[in-house]
Amino acid sequence: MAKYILQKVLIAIATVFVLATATFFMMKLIPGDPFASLTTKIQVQEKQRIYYGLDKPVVEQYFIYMGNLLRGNLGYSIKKVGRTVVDIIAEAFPVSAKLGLISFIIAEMIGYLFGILCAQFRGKWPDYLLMIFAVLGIAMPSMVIGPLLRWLLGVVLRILPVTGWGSVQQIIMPAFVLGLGTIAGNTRAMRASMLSTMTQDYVMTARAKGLPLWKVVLHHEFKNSLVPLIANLGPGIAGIMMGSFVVESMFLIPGLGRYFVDSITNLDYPLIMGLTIFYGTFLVTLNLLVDVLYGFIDPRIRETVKGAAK
Amino acid sequence: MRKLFACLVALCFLASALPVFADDANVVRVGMSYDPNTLDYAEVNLDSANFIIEQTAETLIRDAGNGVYVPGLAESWEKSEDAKTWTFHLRDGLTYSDGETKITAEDFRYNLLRTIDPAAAHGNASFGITGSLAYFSGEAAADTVGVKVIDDLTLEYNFEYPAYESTFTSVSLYGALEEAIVSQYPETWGSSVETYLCNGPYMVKEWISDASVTLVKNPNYYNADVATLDEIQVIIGASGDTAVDMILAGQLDICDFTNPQQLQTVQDAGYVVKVSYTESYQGLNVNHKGKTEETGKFMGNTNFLKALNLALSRDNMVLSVRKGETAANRLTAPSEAPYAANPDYEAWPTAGDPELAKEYLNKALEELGVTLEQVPTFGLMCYESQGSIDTLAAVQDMWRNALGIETVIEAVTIQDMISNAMSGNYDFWLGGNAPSVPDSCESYLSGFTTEQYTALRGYSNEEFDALYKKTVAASSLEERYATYADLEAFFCENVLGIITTWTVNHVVAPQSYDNLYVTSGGTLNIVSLTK
Repeated sequence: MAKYILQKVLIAIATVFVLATATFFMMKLIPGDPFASLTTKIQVQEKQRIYYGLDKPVVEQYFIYMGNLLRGNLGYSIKKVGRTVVDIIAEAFPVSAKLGLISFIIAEMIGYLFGILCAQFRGKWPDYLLMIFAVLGIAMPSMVIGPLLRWLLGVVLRILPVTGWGSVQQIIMPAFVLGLGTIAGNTRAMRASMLSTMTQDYVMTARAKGLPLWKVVLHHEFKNSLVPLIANLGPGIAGIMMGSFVVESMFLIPGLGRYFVDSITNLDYPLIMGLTIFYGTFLVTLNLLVDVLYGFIDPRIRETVKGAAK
Repeated sequence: MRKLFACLVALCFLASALPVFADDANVVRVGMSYDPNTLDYAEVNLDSANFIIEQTAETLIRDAGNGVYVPGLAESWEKSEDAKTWTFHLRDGLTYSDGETKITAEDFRYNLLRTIDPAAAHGNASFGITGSLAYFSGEAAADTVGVKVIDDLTLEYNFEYPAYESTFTSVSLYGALEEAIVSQYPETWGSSVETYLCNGPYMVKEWISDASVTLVKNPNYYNADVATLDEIQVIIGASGDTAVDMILAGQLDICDFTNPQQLQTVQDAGYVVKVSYTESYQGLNVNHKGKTEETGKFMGNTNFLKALNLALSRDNMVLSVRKGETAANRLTAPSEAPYAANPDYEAWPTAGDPELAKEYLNKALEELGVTLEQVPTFGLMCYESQGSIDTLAAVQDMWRNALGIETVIEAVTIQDMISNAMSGNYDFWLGGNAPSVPDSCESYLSGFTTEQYTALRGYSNEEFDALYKKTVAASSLEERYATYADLEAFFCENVLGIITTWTVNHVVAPQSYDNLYVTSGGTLNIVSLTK
């Protein structure tokens, strides 16, 4: 198992390196110049390029950047003057992560519950009702459902604040809007997985033995239906914890989401690189954890790894 | 399911029992679109940063609104006859917000030299002071720059061209900065509450990046009683539809709108427009050299440009694609100071004049020795937003219908747009410019002078150069605005740019709010607001 994990770690490091290199050169291909401005004096623009080292050849800039990266220095943001990329991520990521995690936990629980209900009531009205919800959840983008909820719950009913961050009340709406797609996706995935598991021999046997329904559902059907869904956990958590430009802008949440868009719009090179490397590392780490988790949950994988080691 | 539904209902009731927002008596919540990014005087450029600076930092002279300038950190000043040398006498006993650090004349000199520091390349570097460009270019030492400390309370500035009271309201060049703290935190002093020492009526208490900035009274301000509010909360991102919802939900007090529907919604809710001002003049920038040699032949012909200008109905644009904006009939907007000096001037009818346009087109074709069929297709460049594309589609339609001129719309990314504009890779480009103080000379019209020739405008004309020089050399605003009127007329009649509309910003607040104004530079001041 240790060799398996080590192998995965080495692949993860190589992935981040390739990601950083590819991003650096692709970023330089974006047309434009971060200092090109119609209001700043031409002489000042020229000096700014020199100040940030953008007058040097791209390959030289790459080696300088990678050298700094190895020392943990992601540089200063070009647009947020005086703030390091590390500071920006350290300040904004916990906000996005908190919102994302709450949203993810709620979405997983509700999605799985709905999926189980759909499977148990297959072809009956609860199945149809929840599947309609699932289709709507996937089809309706957050930029539609968000303002609708904000208007209904914040303006008309005044039971929740329309924007802001900090209190429990301020989390409810954005967490729901952010997690709606995940709820819908999980409902459909769990339903399909449950339906497949329900026809397995061991489930039939459990039912034939006369086990209570909840035991059959939880211990045999749900547990085994979960295995194929775990593979999506890593990217799912990473994606939702990195923040959403739309949801964070709509509810005025000071998270990381808007930086992914703003950094590119502003051609803030250090921030583009910092965010990509951070996201990449986070995603690769979570995938690594899921791979390891898989080994623990699915005995077949554990055995395969052991067999390969022998 | 019933139980689940009951739980959800119970949750909603629980939530409604908790306070949604505070209704503090002497706190005002102001909506701003973007995070200030930095409060470093040498770098500030966003509206939110300017708003915070306006309440927390003071310059030598203060803009009191309506074109009135009053003593700020300087209690008095004298100027030379040609208005190129200004001597300021600071108030005695001034301190920064920490209450200990004294403000001296040296702090003003340090701030100016820091902004134009050749090693730092600050975004707000500007070169009106004698010797400043040479210093910035590394050709001269700092002591050659025209700022002189006479003693702790007296300093003198020397300018290349005459200056006015409004010149000294720029904090980037004429604010006071404590060298010790900036030297200690050279990169971060303007982005951290702990290091941002200020000297205005309010000071920054808290700054949550991309969320809010909280200002409180500065007890060490020399005239602390002028600050009437206990707290000003700047809510970042509160603009547009979000701001409307926040106002309707009672979460926002002051915000500005340009969109007529949003404005109407908040007015229906009982809010009123407290002040309106021109945010920008919109229109088509003209590349007088043309994108290609073929188009350049026509772009350099004044009669051809006159034809295009008169073929546009600004009235129709305002009714269809530029809703909420005002049809422009000249360069200078009504809220700009030079407008009042020449209010009756009308450079073109806002309804357009297709017949006269055709006459000018025929003259142009005759001068160029071509027929209408030989006129090339011109490029109309804009940022790839639907609003911009719609505007250009309207222009395209009007030029085709009135004159038979064909164009192609080139919607590009913002980076491409700036890059193409600066390299002259366009024929017409849809864009706006912000009005400036005391007028648009340095900020806009200077770009058409031979001295500052760039590919962006591709324009050079001796008569214009002479008028420009005469305007900026005027030693009083009255004299300047008289010449500015000729300069503006030259701009409009020779169609240096095609101005179509003025974007007007409306600041809304509850009916009872009073004592708020917008400075000549377009920044809201709520220092002495009463609720």
